[in-house]
Amino acid sequence: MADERDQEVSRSYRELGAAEPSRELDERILAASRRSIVRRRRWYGPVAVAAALMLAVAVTVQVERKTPEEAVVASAPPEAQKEAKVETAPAEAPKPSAQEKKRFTPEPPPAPRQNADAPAPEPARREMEAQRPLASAAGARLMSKVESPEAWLERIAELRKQGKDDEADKTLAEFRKRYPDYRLTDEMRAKVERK
Amino acid sequence: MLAYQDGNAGAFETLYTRHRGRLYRFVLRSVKARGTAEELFQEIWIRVIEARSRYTPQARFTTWLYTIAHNLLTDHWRKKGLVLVELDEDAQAPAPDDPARSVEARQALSRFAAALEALPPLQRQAFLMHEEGGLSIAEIAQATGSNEEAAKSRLRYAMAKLKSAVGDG
Repeated sequence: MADERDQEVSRSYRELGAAEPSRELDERILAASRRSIVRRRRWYGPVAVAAALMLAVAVTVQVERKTPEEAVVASAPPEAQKEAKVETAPAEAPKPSAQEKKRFTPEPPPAPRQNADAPAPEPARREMEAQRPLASAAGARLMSKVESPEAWLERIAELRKQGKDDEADKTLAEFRKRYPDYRLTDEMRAKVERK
Repeated sequence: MLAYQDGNAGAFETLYTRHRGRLYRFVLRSVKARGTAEELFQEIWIRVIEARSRYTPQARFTTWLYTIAHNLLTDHWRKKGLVLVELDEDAQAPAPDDPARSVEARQALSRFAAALEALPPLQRQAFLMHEEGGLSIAEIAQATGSNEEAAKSRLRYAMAKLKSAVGDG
């Protein structure tokens, strides 16, 4: 190539001047190159957003599948989760304080609490009895208030009064089984025992 | 170019800064009119930008860039009804022992510019690619889609005419 290059021609050519593109033209071209990169990145943007949304939905579904209590524990800080585990531990484990309990145990619906003093229907009572080991101490106390011995006896007397002697006998037997040491007054004995 | 392909906007700016002046002069001295030169210059770079994703380094970037420029200039001339034909080089080329070549080395720029302008387009392109782009004969051949012999011949004739113009006093 060197033999083709004529220094004189080259020098004359350089003397024609070093014309250059305008700044405006430079800016237009550089802006086009930047836009090209942004356009390509736009393709990545929606994919990233979609992936984030899918992750969020998956987490939400997972949380909803857990029981309310688990959900509360899952969202609690690590120390709280430890405390919550204590609550579900066997009876001999230290019990959490009332404040901690309030913090981690979901509030029960208000309706059952309002009807707690009324006698529970038998199937419901049996179910409640079955659940008793899992129930809290407060729940056990409520259960004992379901029907006092006196109320039970009054109910038997009422059955006897209505002539439902078989049912009254059966209920009285249950009563005696439950309260073997209960001493009936003569008046009450006359009301509840078959004549 | 590969860095730009990977999304590095700064890589394009580096390329552009390196080639802008030389490529612009190549285009300007090929078409003469500044407005047309700016349009074509911009179009060349737009094509570079658009080719970003499919660019594969089969040649030096400079060669690739001047290939795009050559193709656009060819389209431009075709649109203007100009056909790029080889002229009868022997008839126009100065004789090797032309006394005009050995007369004066320093000539008026206007005469040199007129000689450059008067070159057949393909000879002028070969000269400008060589002078501005620093392309070798092989690269000029590649950029213009011709063989090396043709490229060498064009460049030689162009140089001879320009040298003659410089020497005409």
